[in-house]
Amino acid sequence: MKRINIVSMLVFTFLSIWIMPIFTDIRVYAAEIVVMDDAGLFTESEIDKIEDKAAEISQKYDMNILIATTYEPGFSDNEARDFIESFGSSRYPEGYLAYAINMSDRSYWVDAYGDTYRSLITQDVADTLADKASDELYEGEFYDSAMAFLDRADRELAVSTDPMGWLKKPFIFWEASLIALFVSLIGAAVVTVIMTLLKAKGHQDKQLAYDAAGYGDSLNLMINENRFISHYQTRIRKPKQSSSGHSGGTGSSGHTGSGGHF
Amino acid sequence: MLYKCKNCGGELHFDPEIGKLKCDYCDSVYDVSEYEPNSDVDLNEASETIEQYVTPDEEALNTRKALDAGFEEATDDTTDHKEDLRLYQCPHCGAEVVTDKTTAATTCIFCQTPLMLQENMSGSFEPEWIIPFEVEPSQVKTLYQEYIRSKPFYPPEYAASNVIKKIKAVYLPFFLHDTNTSGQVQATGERTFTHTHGDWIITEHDVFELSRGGQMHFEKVPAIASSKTPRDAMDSIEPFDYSKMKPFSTGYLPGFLAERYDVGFEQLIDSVHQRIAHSFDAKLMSTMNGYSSIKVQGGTMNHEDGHTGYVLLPAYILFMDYDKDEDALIAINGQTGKIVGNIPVDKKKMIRYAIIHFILNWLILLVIAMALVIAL
Repeated sequence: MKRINIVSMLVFTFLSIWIMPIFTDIRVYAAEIVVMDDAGLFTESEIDKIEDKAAEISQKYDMNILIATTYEPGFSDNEARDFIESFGSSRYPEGYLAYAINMSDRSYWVDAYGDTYRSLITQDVADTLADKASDELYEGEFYDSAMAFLDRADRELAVSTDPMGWLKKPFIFWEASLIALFVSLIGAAVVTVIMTLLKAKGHQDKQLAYDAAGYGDSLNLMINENRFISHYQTRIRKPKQSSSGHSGGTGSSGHTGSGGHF
Repeated sequence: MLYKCKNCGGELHFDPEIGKLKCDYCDSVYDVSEYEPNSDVDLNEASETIEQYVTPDEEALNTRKALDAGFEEATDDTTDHKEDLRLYQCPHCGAEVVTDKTTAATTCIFCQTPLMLQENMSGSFEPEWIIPFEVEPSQVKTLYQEYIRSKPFYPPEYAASNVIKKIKAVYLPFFLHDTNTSGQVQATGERTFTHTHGDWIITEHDVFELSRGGQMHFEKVPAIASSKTPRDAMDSIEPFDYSKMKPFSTGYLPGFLAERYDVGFEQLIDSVHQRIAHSFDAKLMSTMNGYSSIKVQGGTMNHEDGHTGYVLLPAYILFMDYDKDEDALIAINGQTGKIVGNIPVDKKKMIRYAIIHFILNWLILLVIAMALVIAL
């Protein structure tokens, strides 16, 4: 009896060493949102609306969404990136999609962290999200900037999370489709007018002959002189390259990001 | 003048396919030279002066006005003046045939006998050469059908079935003019070379004074010598193959209409010189190569006029009575078959074409636009 008890204790100990960590490492993840306005850029009602939209995306796609504004100084050329990569990866080590504005250097950054998130938010998508957000930032519309980011993220995720999402794209991005429809109508009208006018012009064959090229022999050239008269110089300044606030970039290792300064 | 078959006495007409006179009744065929009183005309014996072909003096013409015979005066809407008519009697059936004063050959409308009017083909009105018809009347329908199909908006009145019978084969009067043209042109030309230096884009300009001079011979530049036939139509059916030109013989005329000239060369020489000058200038300018820009400063030109020949060239003519404001003449080169005309646009056809192509173009562009939306 005493021997069985010792063996049982040894087996139990052995199992607890190897198996217990597996159980302790299993956690149930639920998608979360964080809307943090340390820089005071949003009103209360704006924060509510941002939270509602972020929660909708989070539930729809089971993703952690972070929206943050701060004055915290960083260490690189984009302090928004420094902040969100540090804050986000510690808060959500499994992954997140974030948008941050840092007023200390007036920078903004879109960040996707985690393999699953990065497979859905590619560099092109991150660039697009940053572009959409920055359009409003230049106008000083911080709330509109956050909503533009969330709205575009919602649409991009609707396409990338669905195997047939590319078919739905014209409907998800209905504004672009409407512009495409309008442009195709105008283009078709212009092409049709040109085609019709050319066909009608082809009805007119007759014209006065203005030369007698078919009736002449070859030219007997008797005078052929070229005399140098003068030389002069003109110069123009090279056009300057226009600078843009958008810096792009891939983010730090393990991150897909894009952003800039405003 | 009548051309009668030696075999059966029937009327002969010139057949373009075989290039000979053919009897309508017994199909006998005769060479034109068999009916030509002076078939051994020397091509080298040509008039030397332009002044020979002056605008005809009406008083010199021995005619009878149709008004005396009770015919109504004809009017020409294109020239807006009344034209004199001439009245002849058909030697075959005796019918009175009314023609225009410049008609040289026609057909009796009653018995279809080909008629040649000597007074409009002799003396100063006698052509030196003629290019016989090579396009047969039977080919005209096919040529016209192909032509009108290339005009998608043609009115129904221009369909081949409606117009084919109105097309007339006519020998039209032309002057063919030779000249030696010489001249010079002075111009300035620039050569440029661009390079960069620091923040600057620098262009180096070398300026040259250019002189070109030379001589060119122009041969047989045509000019229509009929006031009734618009110049743009005749210019547009050029060129004719002059290697097929033959000494004039009335034997080529039976079965066709023919007109003599009523515009003297002195009225046409300026337009001929303008064409020649344009070609000569272009040739001289083409010798100025390698310059990024050329500015002509001035030049001189001299025309040493040579021989001017009076010829008859073949054409099929169609006058359409579609719309008084429209240019009504369609012309077909009777040697090459080239057709020209200003065909009116039927608005209903054009609108139908536009609607169909708008829908097609829109569908194509929409598919491309949507593909871009999906791809981007």
